Amino acid sequence: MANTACFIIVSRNNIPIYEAEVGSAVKREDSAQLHQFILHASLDIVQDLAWTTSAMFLKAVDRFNDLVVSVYVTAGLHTRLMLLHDSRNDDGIKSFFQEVHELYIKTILNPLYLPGSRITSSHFDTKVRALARKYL
Amino acid sequence: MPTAGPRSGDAIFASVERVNAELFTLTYGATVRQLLTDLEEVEEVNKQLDQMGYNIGIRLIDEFLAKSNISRCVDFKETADVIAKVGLKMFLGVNATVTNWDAEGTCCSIVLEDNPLVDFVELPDTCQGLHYCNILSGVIRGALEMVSMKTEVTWLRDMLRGDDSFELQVKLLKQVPEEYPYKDDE
Amino acid sequence: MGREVAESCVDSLLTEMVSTYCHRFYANKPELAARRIEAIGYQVGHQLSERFVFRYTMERPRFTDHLEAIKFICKDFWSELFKKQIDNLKTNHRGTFVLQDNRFRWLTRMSVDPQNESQDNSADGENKAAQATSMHLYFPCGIIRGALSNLGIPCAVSADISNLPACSFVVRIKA
Repeated sequence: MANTACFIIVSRNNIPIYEAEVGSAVKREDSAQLHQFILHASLDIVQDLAWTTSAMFLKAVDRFNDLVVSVYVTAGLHTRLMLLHDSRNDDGIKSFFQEVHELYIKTILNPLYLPGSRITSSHFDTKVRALARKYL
Repeated sequence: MPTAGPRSGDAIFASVERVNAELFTLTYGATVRQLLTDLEEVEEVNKQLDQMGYNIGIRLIDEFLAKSNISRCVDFKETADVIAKVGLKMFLGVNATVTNWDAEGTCCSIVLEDNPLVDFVELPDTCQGLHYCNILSGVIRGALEMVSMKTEVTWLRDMLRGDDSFELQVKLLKQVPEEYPYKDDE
Repeated sequence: MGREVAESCVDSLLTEMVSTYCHRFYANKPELAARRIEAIGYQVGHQLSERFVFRYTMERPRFTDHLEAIKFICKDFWSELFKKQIDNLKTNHRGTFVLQDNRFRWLTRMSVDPQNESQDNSADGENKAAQATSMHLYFPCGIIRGALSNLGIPCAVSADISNLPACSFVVRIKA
């Protein structure tokens, strides 16, 4: 399992709607903030890159010391699933993204979920963490 | 013409025109959401959904009787069985069972373990009092009224509230004996 | 094949939803009823398009060209909903598209709510029936607008039923 892994979902309006530290390292408030900051800082790069390719999985778009940013851009909504990680397991990361994407689609299909709002479902959170343990 | 017996729910469901269930599920969900926005009070939404179901039920009964080849259910017990085994199957494609009969045979439960209305649905904290599937209880109440059975239909268990199945209690309040103007010749 | 329900479930639900908004909530304010019905369609279209894009392409379609997105609506999207494609697509190449379904299912199947429509064949009755039909059509118009908006294309959608049972949806893309 990855030592450091920070996962966030950013809506099409660039607002984070879900955040989770999913690495095995001891969780610290300040490192979580730093991780999210790094991920946000790479949004511009993602934006530019997304125009040049139709791939959903964009691996290692940015770096910070030994940490790497990988991204998955969803089809219609242009929601971005972003992961800051120290592992180099590309296949695992890709599978993680694909399965979280499916979970995410189920979430937005909830008629009572307001599009673009924070994902507060504990079911979603539990599943994401389980997928992180499985793939990262 | 020989009269065929009542048809099974599976057979009817296999023969009717069917559509993508997601369209149905999401249309219902969007309607519930819009009602929540317009009516604000969850209790009010429950009432509207029940009313909508009732209106659907009184119209759907004819299609149901025609397609299922059921002439009339005289007995409440038989009726409950038909709703569970034939009605829910032929419209929603799901199986249901009837349990928890009271001694008088006027009150029972219809139990569903699966229900296309709630695919994808999770109740947010603000909607805890919502009976999301209230349209369904309304449909049953409306349909039964058209075959002269006045009932009260309430949700006892709800998977959206963490229960392991859906349980609808159907209580017979009054059965108006039907007057046949002429005897059905077999 | 995914899960299915009887078509009459959808028909009954739509009839009742439209009737609730037109006759019970906003009996004297048809424009408000229309807006609500359209909004319900919008949400459905928005959700379904995300769902169907995911189902049809594991690649991320880049609908940079509006025509590509419209074609997706005419083919995959329409087929999922109605088991047939849009029959005819026209465009003026300036942001207006006309999608024609020669036998639009919801018009051929949808019986106008009998309890609220007058029985007589007078002009008034016909007028009311036409009004009820146009109310029903706000729903699919909303679906198309929601689906395109989810694909990043803001637009306005209206319906034209001058050639029943054909129905044309006119999509005007906002610059």
